[in-house]
Order: sequence, then structure tokens, then C-alpha cells
Amino acid sequence: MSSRSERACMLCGIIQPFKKFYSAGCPNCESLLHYQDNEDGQIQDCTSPSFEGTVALGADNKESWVARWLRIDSFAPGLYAVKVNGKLPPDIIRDLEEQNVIYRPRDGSAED
Amino acid sequence: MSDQTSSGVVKHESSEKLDETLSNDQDLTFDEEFRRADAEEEEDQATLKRPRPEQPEEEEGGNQEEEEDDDEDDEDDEEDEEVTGRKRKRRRGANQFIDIEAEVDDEEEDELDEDDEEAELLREQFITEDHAVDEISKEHVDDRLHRQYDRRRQEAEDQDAEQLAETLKQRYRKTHTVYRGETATSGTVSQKLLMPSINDPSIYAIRCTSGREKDLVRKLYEKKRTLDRSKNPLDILTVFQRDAFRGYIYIEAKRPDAIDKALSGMVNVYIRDKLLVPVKEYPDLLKQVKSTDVELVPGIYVRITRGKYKGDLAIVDNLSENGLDVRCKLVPRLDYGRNDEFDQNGKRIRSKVRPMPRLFSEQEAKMYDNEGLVHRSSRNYLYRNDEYIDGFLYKDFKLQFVQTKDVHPTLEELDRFQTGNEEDGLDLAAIAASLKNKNQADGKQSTAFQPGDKVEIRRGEQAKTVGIVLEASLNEIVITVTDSGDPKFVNQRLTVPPNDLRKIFNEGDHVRIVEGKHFDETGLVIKIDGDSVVLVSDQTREDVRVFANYLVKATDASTNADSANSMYDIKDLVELNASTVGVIVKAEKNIFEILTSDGRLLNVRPSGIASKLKLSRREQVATDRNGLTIKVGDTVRESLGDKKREGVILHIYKNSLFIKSNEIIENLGIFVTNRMNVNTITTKDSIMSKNLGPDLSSMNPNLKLPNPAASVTGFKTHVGGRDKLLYKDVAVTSGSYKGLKGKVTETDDIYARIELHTKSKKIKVPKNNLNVLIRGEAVPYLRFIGASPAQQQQQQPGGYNKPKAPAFSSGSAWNGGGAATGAGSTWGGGASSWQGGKTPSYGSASTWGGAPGGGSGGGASAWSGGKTPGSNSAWGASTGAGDNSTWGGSGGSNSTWGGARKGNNSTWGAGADKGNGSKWGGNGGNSTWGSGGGNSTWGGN
Repeated sequence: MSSRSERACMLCGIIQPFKKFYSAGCPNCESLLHYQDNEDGQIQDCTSPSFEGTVALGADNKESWVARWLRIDSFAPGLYAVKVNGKLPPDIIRDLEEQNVIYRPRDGSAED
Repeated sequence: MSDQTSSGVVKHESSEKLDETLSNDQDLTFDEEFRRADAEEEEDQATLKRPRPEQPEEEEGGNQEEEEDDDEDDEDDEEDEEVTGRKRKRRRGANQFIDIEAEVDDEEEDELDEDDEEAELLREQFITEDHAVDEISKEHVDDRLHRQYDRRRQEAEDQDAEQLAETLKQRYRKTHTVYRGETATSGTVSQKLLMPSINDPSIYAIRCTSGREKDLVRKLYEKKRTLDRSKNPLDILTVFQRDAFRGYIYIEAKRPDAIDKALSGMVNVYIRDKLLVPVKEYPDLLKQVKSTDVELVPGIYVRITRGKYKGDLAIVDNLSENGLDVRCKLVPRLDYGRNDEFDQNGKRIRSKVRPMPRLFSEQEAKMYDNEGLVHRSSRNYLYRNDEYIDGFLYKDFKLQFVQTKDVHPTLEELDRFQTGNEEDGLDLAAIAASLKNKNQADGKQSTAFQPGDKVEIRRGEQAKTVGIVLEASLNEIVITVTDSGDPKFVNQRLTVPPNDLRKIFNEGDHVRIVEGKHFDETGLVIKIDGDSVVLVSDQTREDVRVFANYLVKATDASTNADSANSMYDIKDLVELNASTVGVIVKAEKNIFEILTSDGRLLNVRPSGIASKLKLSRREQVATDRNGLTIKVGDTVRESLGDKKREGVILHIYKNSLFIKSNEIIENLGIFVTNRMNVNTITTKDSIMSKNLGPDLSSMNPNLKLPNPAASVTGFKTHVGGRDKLLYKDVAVTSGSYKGLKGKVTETDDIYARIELHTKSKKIKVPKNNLNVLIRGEAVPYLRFIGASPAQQQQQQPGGYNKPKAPAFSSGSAWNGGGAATGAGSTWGGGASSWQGGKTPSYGSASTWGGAPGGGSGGGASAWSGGKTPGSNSAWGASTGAGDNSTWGGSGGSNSTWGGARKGNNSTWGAGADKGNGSKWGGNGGNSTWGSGGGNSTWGGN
């Protein structure tokens, strides 16, 4: 399992190989970020090859504090990164805001 | 295409099939209904066919959802489960074509073209072989069936559209809801509200093989996903790993036994080391920003971890929008293709040699490799697709190839970034950031600030405030303000992070460098230049430029070198070249002062030292001017020169002695001298004699002659050199230790220190109380050290050593008196025989007085007729003067003795009258002895 080709979605943090983002998209954010078959560099822009911390999230994640803390508790099962370096491009963030989706950067810069 | 065509054909076929059935059983409506239902199911199955091959792929992905499939298939997928194998089986039994025919696709139906029709024809023929009978009725039912079919298809399409809309709605709702509503995912909930409570599941830390953490997380994830579908799924919630916590994986579970279950059968993990993480530490486990992280902002120093510039220092110039690319400024490594070689085809082989970092040079680029050069503006070039501004390379690097931690820029590297324009100086903040955490690895993190340091706040609201450090801890420094723009702050206490402080020094301060390449050098501040300070090193006498925060005030000049890293230490004997050997007398950072064997002082860099000479003790042996053995550790004194330096021998190299003196100061007290120039004072193993002053006895010219008395008395046994007694086995002959045996470890003139064989104890015993054991034979000490060989000869016949030696012969007094004559040895020899002859027959037994009735002069000869020829001279001298020297004349004659020349008589022995008056002549004084058996007077001068 080469981790070099793996990337983490900057929005949900899921870790997938680049190919998978391209072929199947992101299981959580596909409706928002449209990775699948996107050749405009969406995957390059919105996923990051630089991430740290691996969390294995199962299907029964409702009770998990870890999932809640990382805000991945409603996501599909998979491997998620704790920290994803990089931020979504501003225009994507704007699009998300229009859809009432709050983007919290996963690179540690989020504040409350 | 062929797939589609065949399916299209089959579709038609299936409708024909229907026709057949209809035509055959027209009146049987129930049957018809049944058949139709059957056909419908067939269709269902047909749509089902397509997703099937994709199934394995789906499983691979593991977490793939239905979105993967085509929209139309969505509903069918859901119905998938309802189709039971039983139905399928039955159908198969009913018609062998149905499975093939089931390859129906609504879309493709319309797209039939001529090719397909041909294929259809073929197929029809093929099928009709079996069902030739049915062909007759086929034509007239065709139309109705088609319409029927169309209607049904229309219905299906309508339903599909509806369904599709619904699915889409469902899906969008689904993905959107994950970002909406009550869940934590919707970013609306503050992180604080998510803080863990005791009701949350426990997190356990589990030890595992370092480096396998990610693997384990993945494996556990797969395991959980697999077992989720089984009867007994794993009861763990999440598994995670952090790079910062090596050797651990963390499992979130409600019950600890779930973890045991999950980990059973896993390798590289140590279930025994299971640790419950305290609830309040949960957030720390999942912190996104570690305190050790350095925020990547333009201006900080980083290192490149890959490629040509691997390991090079770079300054972050800018970050790409998404923060994944870092534009760095670095000193290019270019050779402009100069070292490239060409193979026989003229193909360029890039040189593998990594060029030295140097600023970009337009001239060179033009000269060697003009084609790659694009001139953009005055100082901006594009060379081989890299941009060079002001000679520096500006290049984008991937974030993961840039190292932000532990950068440790050296001043040398930073210097390369200095372009000589002063205003952009060195950015201390950037350096501080790069140094962050640097010492944590070796566990000696320390702060350069010490109480009492004068500091200035560099930034923030309190910038320019000057104060004095009161307390210094790792991350905060408390200062008292002494000078501030706002008077009300003066004398206030402030707590400041160390990064915001700069030390203040003045010209002339004596400082010590506590960081970096020049570590531990001291010097005098000569210039203050913003954050950096220029000082003259005490050691190298060169200017050194360092950051102010790398300095502390010092009071002393540095003498200590980095002993841990240095090969050489102070006082080491080192070889500089084949002919020069010396001792290090001063060791400093990168410079040694060496006292060579010919007495010169050299300053040598470590590289100038060929090797350290390691001579064994056995090799380091010489003799002093008296021929006595000297070894390292012996104390010697110079016999020439006006100072008469003395000290302990440190090293012996050939004829040179390196001696450490306590009295001289220069060169660490070490001086070098020739071995022929020293006398031994004490040897290493002797008890340090109190009498280190000049040896008076050695000044006595008489001692140039053999001195019998010295050996007889045994008090001056230790003339010099090594004591013979050392390391000998001895037995104690008297005192409380009498009878015990031991080994001599140390000696001085009188005492010997003995290590007893019986018990581990050292005792101090007078040497005279010792018997030396030589080959099992006990030899009394005095005999062991012996006197002159001649004496020993004489001693043997005589009973000299008998303890009851008469007082008379115990010659100290005698010899003392007789010291005026040089004939001591013979006298002593005579003494023994005399004593021997002290028995009634006076001298008869001995050679002395061999003529009992001897006349004058004869006695003298008889006396001197002793075995020692040397005695003659002295004795004979007195007699040879023509004077009578009579002794013990039996005939009552006077026996005179002594310096007859002076005209003094010395008479001895019985006078003529019954042995009265024997005189011994001093210088003019009479000495009478045993006169008349009465008084005997002796000696006066």
C-alpha cells in the first residue's frame, strides 16, 4: 500500500488513493466537490498528499467521541486523516458557503 | 458494441417468445398473466445483469456506495435483494433462452441498425430450429404485442424518471446532511462543546512495533469492515495513530475486552501493554497542531528533503494558495552543464557531481549554456525553467518535501543568503523558529537567557522595552523593565517568550558563545549589528559574527575544549610529524597549544596533529643523570639551570622528559628537559618523604668515597633511585605484626608500607624490622640491602651481625670520632676481628697483634696484615712516618698510636706497668685509654 499516491480530502479528511478519487470520488463530499472523472485538477486542488494521523472509522460511528471530535461522525466508514495540510481554494469555499456547508480547515488553522 | 447488439437482438427475441406463448395459449388468460409476470421478472433480471460484473470492484473499494452505479440501476439495485435464487432457478428450468434473452437494455433498443438486424436474422434462424412450429402464428399477434410492450416500457421509463429524481434527491440529501444538522460535522458546533466526558467511550493506547502503526490501523480497519458483516462484529469504534506518538496505536472502545478480541491474531502489537488514556488527554491525542509544529509562513527557514537541493537551507518565499506548494528561495547549485559529458551518440550525460552552492551567474550561463537562458528583466532570469532573481533560485517545492522542524541553519549557510545589502539582515525570528525544539532530542533543552542578562523586547506591544532577566524558564522569561517608552512600565515585571527577546551587549563585553559552530569560544565584543554581534575570539584571534542570543557574559577566558568530541585532550602526548612530538598544554576550540620536545610552543589546529602517541608504561622509561631508572610519575629535579625546577614526570619521549611542576605557572606547569639533566628525588611508589629539601649528605665531599658507616648503620640506605625493597616479599620480625608476611608497596627512608598477605591491610613497619624473603629464605633487611661487597666478605667470618655486638664496636661513636681518618672501612673491618678477639687472648686469634710480644712497629704491620689490603695505607701511613705506633705491647711498653707526625703520642693498651695508660693521640691532645686498668681517657681533639 503505497502511501505516496494517497491523498486526503481537505473537506472530510478521508484518505484514498488518487485513482479512487478519480474513479469513484469522495464518499462524503462527492456532491459538493465532484471529484469523480474531474479532469480540471479538482482532485489536486481539494485533496492533499500531505496529511498526518490515521483514523479507522467503522460504520457504527455514532457513539465514537473520536469521530465527533474530528467531525467525521456522519461520514462513510473509511480511513481518515487527523490533520490534512493545505486549504481548499477560496472559490470552492465560497461555493460551499452558498450551499450552507461550513468549511473547517483540517490543517490546524481552524479556530473557535 | 457487439454486446449491445446481441442484447438488442435478444430483446426482440424475448418479445417473440412472448408472442409465441400468447398465440399458443390465447384463451388461457391466467396462463398468459402468469407468463407475463414471468417476462417482467425476466426484465428485472435483465437489468440486474449489468451491475453484477461490477460487484467485485465494489467490494474492493469496500466503502463504495450506490452512487457508483448508473442512475437507472439504482432502484433495481434496491430490489436486488428481493430476487431470490429460487425464482431464478425455476426460470432457468422453464426456458433455456431466457437467461440470454434477459440481456435487455431499454436504451439500446432504439438503436438497432442494419448490422443488428442481420444478427437478429441469424439468431432467429438459430432459434427457430427448435421452435419451427411456432412460426406460423407469429405474424398476426406481432402488432398487439409490440404495443403492449411499448406501453410497459413507457411505464417503466416514467417510473425510472421518478425513481431517478428520488434517488438523486436521496443522494444529495444524504451527502448534504452529513454537513448539516445536528452532527458535529456541520462545523456549527464549537470544538469546546465536543470536549470528551466520562460518558464517552474509552481510548486505550496499545504498544506496537514502531513504524507499523499505520499498517495496524489499516489492518484493523479491514478486519472491522469484514467482521461487520459477520455474526460477531468487532466492538471497537475507531482505531487511530499519530505520527507524534510512535510505537502506539489507539483504540476507542466501550469495553476493554473488545480490544483484546480485535487484536487477537494481530502481529506487531503488544496487547499486554494496554493503557487507558485519561479523558482529559483525549483532545491532545487528536490535536491538529502540535506544539512542535512550525507554522509555514513566508520568511522562515526550511530544508529541502528531496532532489538536488536535498539538505539545503531555503527561505520560504511564498506559499501556494492551497498551501501545498512552497516557493522557496535558495542558493542554486549550478554547473551550467560544464561537467556534463557526451556519449558516443553526442547525447548529454548529466554530471552526477553535485555542484557547490553559488549564486546564479549570468555570464557563466551565457558562456556555457546559453540556450537555456531567458532574460526577463534586469535581475530576473529564467534558466532551464527555473527562475533566478538576484542570483537566487526561486522554486516551488511540494510541501511534503520541505522540512520545517530541526532546521538548524548555520551561520555559514545564512551568510550565503546575505547579499550585502544591510537592511534585510538576518531574521532572528525565522532562525528562532527553525531552532525551535532543536535540543529536545538530546534532552538538554536550555535557554540562553540567564537571570541578570540585559535584554530588549524585539516585537509586540512592548517592543524596544529594555529589562533585566529575573527568572528564566524554558518558555517564558520574567524580566524587570528598566527602560521603556512608557514610564509606568518601569520596574514592572513582564513575562515574555524567549523568542521575543534579544540580549543586549555593549562593545567591550567579554562574552562566551553558547550555541553553534563557535560554541564555547570566548571573546570581546567589538561591534553590535542589530541582532548579531561581532566579537574577537580569544582563541582564534579572529572576528566571529554570532547572534546576540547565542552569547552569555563570561568572566574567564575559555580553556575548556569540547572534550567529548575532541580526539585530543590536554596533557596528551601527540605527534605532529615524524620529528616533532609534544604535549598539549592548552586545548581550545579548534586550536591546541603544544609544547614540543625541543621546548618550543606551537599553536596547532587539530588537523595539524598527526596522532596521539600512546606509549605504554614500559616504553616510557629512562635513566636520570645518575643512571637511576626513572618512570612516569617519578619526581625529579633539574640539576642544571638556575631554577632547578622539579616536578612529576608526565611523559618520557626518548631523551625528553615532560615534567609537570606545581611551582611554575606557564604552560600548565609543564616544562620539558633532557633526562641527563635531572636527578631523581622520589620514585612514584615511595612514601612522599618529608625531606624534599636539598640532600645535605650529597653535598658531603666525603661521600664520594664509599662510606662504610652508612651501610653499617642502615640509616642512609636509600641513596637514590628505586628502593630495592619495593615489591619484595617480606616478613615482619618484631612488633605487633611480628611473623606476618606481606609485600612492600611503598617505602621511604625508614619505613616500609607492607601489604599483608593474610588480610587486606597495609601496615607501616620500620625497615629494620623486616626480613626479606628471597627464594623462601629470610634475609634480614640490613643484610639484604647490604653494604659494599668488601664488607660483606669480611662480615661473613666475623660474628658482626650477632645481636649482642658490644657497645664498644658499635661504632657510631667510634666512627664519629674517627671520621677524621679516611680509613673507615678498614677500621671497620678491623673492628670485627677485634671483637672476635675480644676474648681473653687478645688478638691472638686474629691477625691483629699477631706478635704478642711484638715490638713496636711490628704491631702495626701485624694489624695491617689484615685481610683487607686497603687498610694498610691508612694505618701504615701513620706508622710510616717513622713514628712508633705500638699497641698492646705485652712487655709493658707503651703502645702509641695516632698521628705521630704531630708529635703526639697516642698510647694504647697496657703500659709497661701492668697495662696502665694507653693513650690515643688527637691533635696534640692526649688520649689515654684503659690506663692501668683504671681510667681510660679517650680522644679529645
